[in-house]
Amino acid sequence: MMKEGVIITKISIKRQGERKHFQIKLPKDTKFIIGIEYGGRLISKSDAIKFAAAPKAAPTEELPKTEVIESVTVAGTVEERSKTFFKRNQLIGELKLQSSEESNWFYSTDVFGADANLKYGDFSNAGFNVNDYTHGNKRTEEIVKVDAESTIIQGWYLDALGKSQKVDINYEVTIYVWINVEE
Amino acid sequence: MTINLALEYIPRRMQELGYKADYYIRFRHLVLQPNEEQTIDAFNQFYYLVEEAENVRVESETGVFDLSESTTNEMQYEHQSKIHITNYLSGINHLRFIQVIPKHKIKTTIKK
Amino acid sequence: MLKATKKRFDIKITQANSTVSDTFELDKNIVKVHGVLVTSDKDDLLYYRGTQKIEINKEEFFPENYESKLLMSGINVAPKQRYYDLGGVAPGNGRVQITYKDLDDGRTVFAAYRVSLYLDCEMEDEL
Repeated sequence: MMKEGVIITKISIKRQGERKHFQIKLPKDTKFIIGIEYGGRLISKSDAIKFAAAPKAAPTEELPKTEVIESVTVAGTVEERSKTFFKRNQLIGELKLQSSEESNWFYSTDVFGADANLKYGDFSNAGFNVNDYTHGNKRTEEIVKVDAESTIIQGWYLDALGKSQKVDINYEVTIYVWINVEE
Repeated sequence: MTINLALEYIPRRMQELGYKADYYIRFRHLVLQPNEEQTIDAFNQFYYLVEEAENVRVESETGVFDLSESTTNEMQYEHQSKIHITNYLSGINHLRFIQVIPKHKIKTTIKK
Repeated sequence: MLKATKKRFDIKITQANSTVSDTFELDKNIVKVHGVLVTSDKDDLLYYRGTQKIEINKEEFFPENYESKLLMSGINVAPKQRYYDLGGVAPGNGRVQITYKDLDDGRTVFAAYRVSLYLDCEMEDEL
């Protein structure tokens, strides 16, 4: 009988531009890796925060949530223009995963914070505020299929958030590796 | 140990242990922060200390490697299970290992 | 060919009234876990102050608050009978987790001590 499970790995990022290598051990009874998901949370920002231009809205820094999505909106680098313009999303970092067997580098992604364009094209301004938890898509894992013969998964995460703001930001990226297990 | 010695040593050691050629091998070069201590989970794996390793302590259930340790009669280069690494320097230090990972061998396991 | 083997895992208790949790992995060639036992370098502290939860492959064998004194064997016990018989557990993913709690009991004075978990296992000799 097949059972599904998830392996949770937390990567702690403390310095700007940091590249963190890690290994994820697969349990002995794993048959396949069937999906990958990621999330993150902000832990703290250091005191000296520099912005390119004076922000119109104060940067909203959301406190650590149990839900996977992290919301850090930086208004400094993006000028507030008309609401119909497509906004740049804040890139948090890049994540890549490598298997030990033939699949090699089997997963690669850009980790973004909140979707800044959820309100794109909404000219109604109807008073129902747009948030990730009201208008965001349901998040599911990305499907992969990697043989568990791999035994361990290697990977790295490269910080982009701290680098773009030129400040050390302490945050945590969580990687969820979905596996199926032979009972 | 030198890398050449490790590369000769590892295949024979894996044969002794019964893993034959069913293992992966990775070269790990760790960058240790000032006075950093970390614990590596190396259950069912082997870490072979290679190249210079000064001002650092590597300890596991198989023994200890610490050039400043005077109470041991041998230094251990092959480490397993939980490995505790301590950087004695108040600056960045480097530590190199060859990591040997015996495969799970799911494909060839006979279910009992 | 199946062989009997014993595994030992250590945890360190450094603070009074603390809970120490650790996960260990059994060797790949272990096919069954037959028994468990706990010991310490300060066995009076383990006897009076200790309780632990033990899980193998996420299956709980001893719940939280299960006293350590129930898993200790004195030297007057025949060596072959010291282990608590689990009846031959399949290791699954091989992960053994122990969550140990130290509590003041009024009779002992705390000092940092080591708790060791021993497992009596059966391993496959030829892989």
